[in-house]
Amino acid sequence: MNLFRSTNHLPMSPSENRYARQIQFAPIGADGHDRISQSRVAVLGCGALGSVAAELLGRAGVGHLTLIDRDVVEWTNLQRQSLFDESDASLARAKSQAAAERLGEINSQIEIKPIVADVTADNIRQLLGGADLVMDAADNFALRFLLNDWSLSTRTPWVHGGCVGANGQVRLFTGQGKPCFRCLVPQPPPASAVQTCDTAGVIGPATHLIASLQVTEALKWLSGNQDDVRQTVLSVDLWSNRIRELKLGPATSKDCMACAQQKLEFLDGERGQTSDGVLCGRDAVQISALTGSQIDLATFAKRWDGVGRIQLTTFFARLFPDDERSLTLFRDGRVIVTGTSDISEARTLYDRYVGG
Amino acid sequence: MTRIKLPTVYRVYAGDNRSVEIEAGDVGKLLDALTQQYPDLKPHLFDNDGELLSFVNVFVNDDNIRDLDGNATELGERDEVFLVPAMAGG
Repeated sequence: MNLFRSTNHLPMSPSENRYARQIQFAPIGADGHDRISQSRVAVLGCGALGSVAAELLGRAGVGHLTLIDRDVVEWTNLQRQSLFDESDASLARAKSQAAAERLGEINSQIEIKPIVADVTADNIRQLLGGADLVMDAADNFALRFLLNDWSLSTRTPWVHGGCVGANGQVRLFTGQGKPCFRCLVPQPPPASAVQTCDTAGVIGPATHLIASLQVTEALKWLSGNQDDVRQTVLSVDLWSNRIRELKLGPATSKDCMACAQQKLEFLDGERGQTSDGVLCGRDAVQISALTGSQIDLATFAKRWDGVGRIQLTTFFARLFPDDERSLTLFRDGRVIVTGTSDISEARTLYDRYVGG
Repeated sequence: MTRIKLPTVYRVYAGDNRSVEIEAGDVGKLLDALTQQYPDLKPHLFDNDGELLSFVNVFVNDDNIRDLDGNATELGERDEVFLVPAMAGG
């Protein structure tokens, strides 16, 4: 047995058989893999679920991946968000950009498009247009309700995944309705009732498992094995050692606002516009842009000259008014205020240094 | 007695119990008794009008009570009730 191998023998160009084991898996085969390689998948969120899902989809050879996230890498992400490292956290790099670069090193044969944006009713059609399937890696309910509406309006499938603590759940929704996500969750919960990564924490094995289960459903769909897609909601509680498949029967869809009554309130902008809010798992608050106009980041960097330390990149301008807090201004006008989870304090800082 | 199994995220509001056994004829009575026993759990299950929050799905064995008789779903000795809140995090 050769225990040592000269690096001279390592292939210098991408190997043609990198997908051999996937193709060898009979339900996928060569045809299924061809379908996968021609697919366009959008990953909505590049956090705990999204970074793992993006990596698995990229390694599986999904031909076109769009990675969308509004946020930057922080040290608290590294415990579970597998595409990021200490350098990304030190530089507070935009998540979708850092994820795309790392994924490009893993698989140079696929197209990967990073987008730094907050997905809203105004831009979701543009951002997700052309996707064959969307991975839900959102960290809030407003976005899931919006995604569900968009999915129903375009009849595009998406794979729901949610995870808090050691609990998570997964289901692919086809975009045909009955059921849709709103059959499972008819109304967004009040903020006071929601457990988030902030309040309940979250462990890496749970997010990796949920993302892996999401990707499994996605690969079934993309490879032409739609009949094998799970019809139940898979609910997992890793700490209490419970894994259950829960039915969504016809009665849950009968009066569904979205798929039965075709009221797409979130897509129509009547409800759920992204608003100011504490970011999941972080000591940070996002302040939404009041207008849809693009920001000239260099102008702001100049305006902040003398106020505090400034960092200017292609995607954002960041001001450190003191040692504890920072404001990160994105081109779409959003600001993430770190160092506080108090929305009014964040809004005060926004008004002081950004305004408008 | 019907066993109601609590997700880990709710345990902290219910004396760190994984599950609780309660004598109740139907789901509504079971949840009332549960939140009387553990009042901290109430805001996570019910709104201010006393209605079960719609993002918490209640399953009797594998079936959603919305596919059964809702709160009036009768419970037997061997039934297990699961609370499954929707998950915000991603």
